[in-house]
Amino acid sequence: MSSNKQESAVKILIAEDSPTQAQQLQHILEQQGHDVSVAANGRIALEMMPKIKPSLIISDVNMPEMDGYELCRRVKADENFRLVPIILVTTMSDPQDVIRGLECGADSFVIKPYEDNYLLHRVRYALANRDLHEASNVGMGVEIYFNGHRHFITADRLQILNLLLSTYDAAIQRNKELNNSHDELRALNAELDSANKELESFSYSVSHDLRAPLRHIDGFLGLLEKHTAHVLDVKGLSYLKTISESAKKMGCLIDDLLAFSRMARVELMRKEMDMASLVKETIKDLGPEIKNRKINWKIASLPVIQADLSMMRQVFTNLLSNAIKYTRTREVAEIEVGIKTSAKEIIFFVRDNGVGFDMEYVDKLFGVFQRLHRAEDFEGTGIGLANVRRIIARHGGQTWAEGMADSGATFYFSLPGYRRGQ
Amino acid sequence: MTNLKRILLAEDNVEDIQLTLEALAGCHLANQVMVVRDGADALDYLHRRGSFYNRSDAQPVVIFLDIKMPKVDGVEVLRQIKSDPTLRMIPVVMVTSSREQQDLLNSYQLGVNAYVVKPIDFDQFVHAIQELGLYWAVLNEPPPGSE
Repeated sequence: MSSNKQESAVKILIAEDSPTQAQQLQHILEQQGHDVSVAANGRIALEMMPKIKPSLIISDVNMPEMDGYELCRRVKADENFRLVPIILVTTMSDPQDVIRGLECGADSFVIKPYEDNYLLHRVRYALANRDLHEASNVGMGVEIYFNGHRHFITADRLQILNLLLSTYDAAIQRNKELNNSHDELRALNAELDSANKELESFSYSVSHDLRAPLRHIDGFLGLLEKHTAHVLDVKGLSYLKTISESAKKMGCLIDDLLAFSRMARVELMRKEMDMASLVKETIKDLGPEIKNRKINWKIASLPVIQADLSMMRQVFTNLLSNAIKYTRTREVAEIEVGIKTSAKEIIFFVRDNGVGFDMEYVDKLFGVFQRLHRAEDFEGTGIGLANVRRIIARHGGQTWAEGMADSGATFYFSLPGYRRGQ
Repeated sequence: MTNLKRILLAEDNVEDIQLTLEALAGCHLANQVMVVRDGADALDYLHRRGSFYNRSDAQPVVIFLDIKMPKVDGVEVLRQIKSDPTLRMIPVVMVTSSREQQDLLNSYQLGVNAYVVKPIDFDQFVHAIQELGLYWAVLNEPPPGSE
């Protein structure tokens, strides 16, 4: 049934314990017209040898009872079969595999996973070279040391050359595959780039086109008020106010959402920064919010770290203004900024004695536009903690919170190993 | 005061034009406001060409430029103004809806004289426009030779 004119059909013995892999290999070889037998391990293969008299053995390495190396050794030690070329199919994760292959006398390697054409190419090569073995069989042992171990290699020169060539060939093949996946990655990157550009132009037009009508609503509302304030009753005036506030609220939502989406795209500028002075500055900037408030600040000594200053400023602005906001109902607010350090990370936290939250909803805290309080009680759009989470994630850290309804809250974030001098 | 130079407002949106004019009216500027509806008209006005072929008055004291306009956008108008030796000294203020990084960056790189984001809050909007009008039409000393 030889349909392929390039090759003459030969008997091939496969030693492979995985039935699916054996079947696949058998299929590939039979399509080329070869006569293929399968053994489930090295021992069975060895037993089948006298009956089948194969021209080529293709063997898996890891098999129960007898592995590929041992099969190889036995075949090469047998006067009747030592000239039968053996291709070892291996994952070749380690140079040690080459040594083991040389020690056992294998002729060629094929590295898993392989492409059909590559395997056939190795098969053709092994078959074409098999006759050369006849001439050069004066095996003198060679001793080599590799990774602190002594290996004694008795393979003849042709075997060594074949094995090294097949290793080299495999390396080139692997390189080709790497190049291919590199190209694929590049294509994916280009796709990502264009998706990013689309997102950018989307947010650009949101920024321009959605804000304009809101401005017009509030603008003409202002004009309407100016022209009609004297004829409107209290109710009418309060309607105008509600419309105006809604428009502004929507403006805030749009601005917050845009800033949030920008946060994912803006470049991270990591440099050395002093968390202590950042916290000090942030509290100063929050001055208007602390006016007429009694707050006991407890600030730990904070380290110098590697991070994006303007992003970290946003983190502390959010966490501290939250602490200030949610302690509003307390006569004396207690706000603490502290750290816990471990070998691999620094954990910062902001703790307050404010209204807290129910731990049942802790997962919602860091979501976009998620709020655990009514807007009438505590104002805000619900983007602050989502921003904190995104910023910390971009620094490779984590964010979490602990709290209890009416008993204060603690917000934590970790930064992996950015220490002074690192 | 007929020799008082105009303010050129390039803005495509009718509502914005109306609100801006209302706001400017509130600060009682004596300067007239010339309104053009897109970037191409703004350039025709400045170059005294097209429908402004016969214009004989002086160049404007300041140009308020919207960014998103039909035909030629504000950033392109700015680029052409700042690369033209006869126009580059006229103060240009971007008056726009967005604070998009790329607009800010482009505008400043091209040499814009000011960049103002129109507030959504009407009181703040009026305040911003009036400040702009008073600053550029009254307080700011114009470049020499532009009288």
